[in-house]
Amino acid sequence: MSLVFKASNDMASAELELAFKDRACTVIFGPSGSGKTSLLRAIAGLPSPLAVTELTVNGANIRHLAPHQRPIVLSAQNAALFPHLDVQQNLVYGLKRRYEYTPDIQKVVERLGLSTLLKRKPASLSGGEAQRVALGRALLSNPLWLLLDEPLTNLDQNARKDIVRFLNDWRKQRQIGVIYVTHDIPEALAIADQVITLAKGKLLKSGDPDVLLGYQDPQQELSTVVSARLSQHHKQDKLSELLLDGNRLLIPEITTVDGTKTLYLQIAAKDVSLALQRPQRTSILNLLPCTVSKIEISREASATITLNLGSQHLLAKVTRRSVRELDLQVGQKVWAQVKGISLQT
Amino acid sequence: MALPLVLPPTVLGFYLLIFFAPDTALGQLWLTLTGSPLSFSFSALVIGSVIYSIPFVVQPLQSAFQQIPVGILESASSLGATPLDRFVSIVMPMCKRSFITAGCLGFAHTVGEFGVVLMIGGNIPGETQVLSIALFDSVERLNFAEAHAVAGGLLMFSLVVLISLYRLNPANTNSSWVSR
Repeated sequence: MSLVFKASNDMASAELELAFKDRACTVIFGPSGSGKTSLLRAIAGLPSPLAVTELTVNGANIRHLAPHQRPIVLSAQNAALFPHLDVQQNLVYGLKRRYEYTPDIQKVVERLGLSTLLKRKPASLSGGEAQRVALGRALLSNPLWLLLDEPLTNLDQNARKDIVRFLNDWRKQRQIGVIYVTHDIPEALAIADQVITLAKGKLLKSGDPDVLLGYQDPQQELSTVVSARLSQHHKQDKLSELLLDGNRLLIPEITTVDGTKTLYLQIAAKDVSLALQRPQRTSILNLLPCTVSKIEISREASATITLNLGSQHLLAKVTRRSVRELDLQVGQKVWAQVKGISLQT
Repeated sequence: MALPLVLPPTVLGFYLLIFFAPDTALGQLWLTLTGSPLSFSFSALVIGSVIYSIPFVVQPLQSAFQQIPVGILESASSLGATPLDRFVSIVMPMCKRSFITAGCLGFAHTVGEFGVVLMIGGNIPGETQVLSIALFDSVERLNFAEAHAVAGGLLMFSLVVLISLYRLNPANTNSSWVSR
């Protein structure tokens, strides 16, 4: 029970073959121009450079169906709201035309923060507001498969977290499959059951969110994603202790997570500094013993050091001068001091 | 479709007159169906005027349709709207002003038509005589009182059409939702 997609692509001269798990959220990840939007458009039945050779939903062939006949709704990146309809009318547009069900319009309006906008016309909405309306419109049309193309790019970090949480609740309750395109690793980790990474129209990797570990988007700030498990809470300090391949990590207290779940942490390269000996009497809590596995000197003043930490990797951005003064070598043991960690639940 | 824009109206009228004659296939068919000949009838006038005025209606509509972003129609289709549904629920309301503009232009253009109407209608009073030809007749008969009445009436009508068009389209664009 799933969505199977096959296409040939002139650009990459290769067959693209993907399987999306039923009732799961698959995140499509990749830099601009990697074919993410083309893929969604091809699945929705809209013009796309991909020539679809097979498209089945739960075994039924839907390749020849027109977009309005497919059990699939695509919400495009630019919102594409109907300018002559107000927000309320936009929200129910798909609802009136898709499947018979009792929608919870009120809940969508509340959770997406649209209650004060209902009578407004799209021309008067900000980019973020328009995106929330477009998302609500897609959710309310209640498809079997929901395709979302960077639905939250114009929203701030807090609003994104709230909406991602709502989207997770909604899709689980409705048991719909979601294919979600994003550039943003935290967002991807927060929602993904399955991750597919693309580059230049080709499949790079497909699998658990672990696929994103060590993934580096050339267009984003340098960072790495590592996985860890919750070990205990330090109530007095309002901290939670995690284990990352046997190493202790402290982060601000988390309460919502059960101990068996794998947690994904994003660590920016600029937040990692290096010391040759274990630093004493430092305010930095997280000190990790690592081995240098690669040193890349950039054209500017900086250098990027890849560190092995058990089976995982960390990146550290330091200056060239530090590389010289510490005399860093591949294979050398160092201590990584981690200043900032963002946790994705 | 754009040919009537540049073709002299009398030329169009001449060919239509030939085409509508009772000895052509169309003339025969019309005669069999209705029992009266098509040439020099009011029906012929209507058909001729439609052909003559079509570009004045189609062009404003076409440019309005082209200004609708494709993405909007695509998202409507993805949300489950059939092609006809998309036309009724998206295209028509978005181009409402252009439909009215096109209707007004087409109507005003038809009212003022002379050459085509004279050719295929034949100026039969009570049957195929239209206002613009009646005006010409009055002047020929030197009946200036009647000519003034007809000309004044047509002038008023044109002003009313223009004023209502500008009221509808303050920016004088075909689809002001784009420029708003």
